[in-house]
Amino acid sequence: MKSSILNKTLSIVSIVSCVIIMTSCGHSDMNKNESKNKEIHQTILNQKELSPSDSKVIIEKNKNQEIPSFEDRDEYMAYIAELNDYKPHYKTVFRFENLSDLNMPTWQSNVVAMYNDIKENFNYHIFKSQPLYFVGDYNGEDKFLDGYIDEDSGESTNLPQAFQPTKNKLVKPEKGKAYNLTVLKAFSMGENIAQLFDKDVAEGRNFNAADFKIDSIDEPISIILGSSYENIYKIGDILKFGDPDSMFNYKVIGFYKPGVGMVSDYASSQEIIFNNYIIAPHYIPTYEPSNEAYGFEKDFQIGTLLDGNIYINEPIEKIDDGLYESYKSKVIEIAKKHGLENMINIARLPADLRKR
Amino acid sequence: MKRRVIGLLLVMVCILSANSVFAAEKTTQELPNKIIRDGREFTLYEPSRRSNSAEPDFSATSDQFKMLRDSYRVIASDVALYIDYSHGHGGDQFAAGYVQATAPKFTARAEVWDNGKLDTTGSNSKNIGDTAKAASYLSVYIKESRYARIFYNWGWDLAGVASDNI
Repeated sequence: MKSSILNKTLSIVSIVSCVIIMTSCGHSDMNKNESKNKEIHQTILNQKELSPSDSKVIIEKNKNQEIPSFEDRDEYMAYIAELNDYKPHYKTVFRFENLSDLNMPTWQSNVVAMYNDIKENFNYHIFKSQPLYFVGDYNGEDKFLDGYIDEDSGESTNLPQAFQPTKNKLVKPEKGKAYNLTVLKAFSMGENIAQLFDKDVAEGRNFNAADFKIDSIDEPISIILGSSYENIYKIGDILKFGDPDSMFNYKVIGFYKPGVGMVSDYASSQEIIFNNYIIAPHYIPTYEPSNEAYGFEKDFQIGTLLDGNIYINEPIEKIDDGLYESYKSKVIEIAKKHGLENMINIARLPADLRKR
Repeated sequence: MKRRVIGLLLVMVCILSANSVFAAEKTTQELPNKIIRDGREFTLYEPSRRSNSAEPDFSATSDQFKMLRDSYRVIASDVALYIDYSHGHGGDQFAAGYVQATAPKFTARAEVWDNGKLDTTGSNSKNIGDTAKAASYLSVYIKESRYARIFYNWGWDLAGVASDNI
């Protein structure tokens, strides 16, 4: 009898304590959520402080500009055909999403071989946004943040990737300590794009062939800084970028002259002025990764060798779906040689890419 | 009775751990309503929005890859076309979006497609924290049949499964 009462009492106590624990757990989660919400709200506030709409962006640029009306692609192509300096390219991308299905242990070597093959067969250029991650408390100017529009430097876009600046964002990885992360404006360029800037380095030197291969994780990656960095760093300085598990050393080898840059994208002729940017070579990594994070960085660097641009040799007025299919089949033919036919895609609309 | 107490404790531990897992997986991301590009304001075109539609395209994974794939999951994703109607030629559009996932390292890429063909793409981007953002190049002129897609992948090499030394 006593035992039965004790059991019932224990059951009631258990249920009550369970409810209390669940409730407190809920409160705890609510508190966590509230605190999380505060954090998010703060982040949003921070982002709002830095958002392009608040940075007095002048959007007048195109308002007074007469751009003809295009009903379709043909009309648009006819328009760009008359632009003397438009350099049409087909944009290629590496399909990381298919890599898991590839089941090819040698895929990295195959991608590098395909990259070399594409360079031999086409006028192929790499010039892509590749923001650099700064770990720690960032006290630098906002104009260096990826996604921040510095109109004083003639900037007019917060793309291609960031939408909004990331400054001292608290990152809490599942493993390891929390850290502050800031994302800086940076582009990576291939060797033949780099050569266009031989006369545009104000101090130091331009990239050379050796800069496009990294054999060891400790080997510094050469970088050339935009003119706004000139009073902040000097030639030979070593900067660290990455995340805590995969940090790389970057060595300052030069500074660009003010106003130097590239034009990329379509009719909008999006200008990328290097003043606030860090420019890195799109190097081929041959190092042995010491952990998974370095392995990921190596894979990303190799895969994105195929995130490039193929110059269209034909006159713009001849660019149509037929020409696109012919370029595409040539690329796929090369890819097949390396077993990578499902790993690359080519966009149909031509993109502009040239030195500013 | 000891068993009941231990059982009860186990249940409570399960409840607590389940709660913390769910707490960790709430999305904290949202697409901006406007993006500035080349001095022009592009607005999110709501009908084109495709929430939680990120495509990993894992179609024929081996057991090893299946294991890697299943180790993590997408918390949320969103992609939409951004349109600027303001200038002379009727407007332009591009795709932008994000993938938020539990994987430590992953990639994302946004694209504009039309009738099963790739119109414009953007370069692959890496995650920052638990989110990878991506945007495509501009698709000049407006075409109603265009739609936005976002792709992601992770973990192909986290266990060195698909790695070789070059």
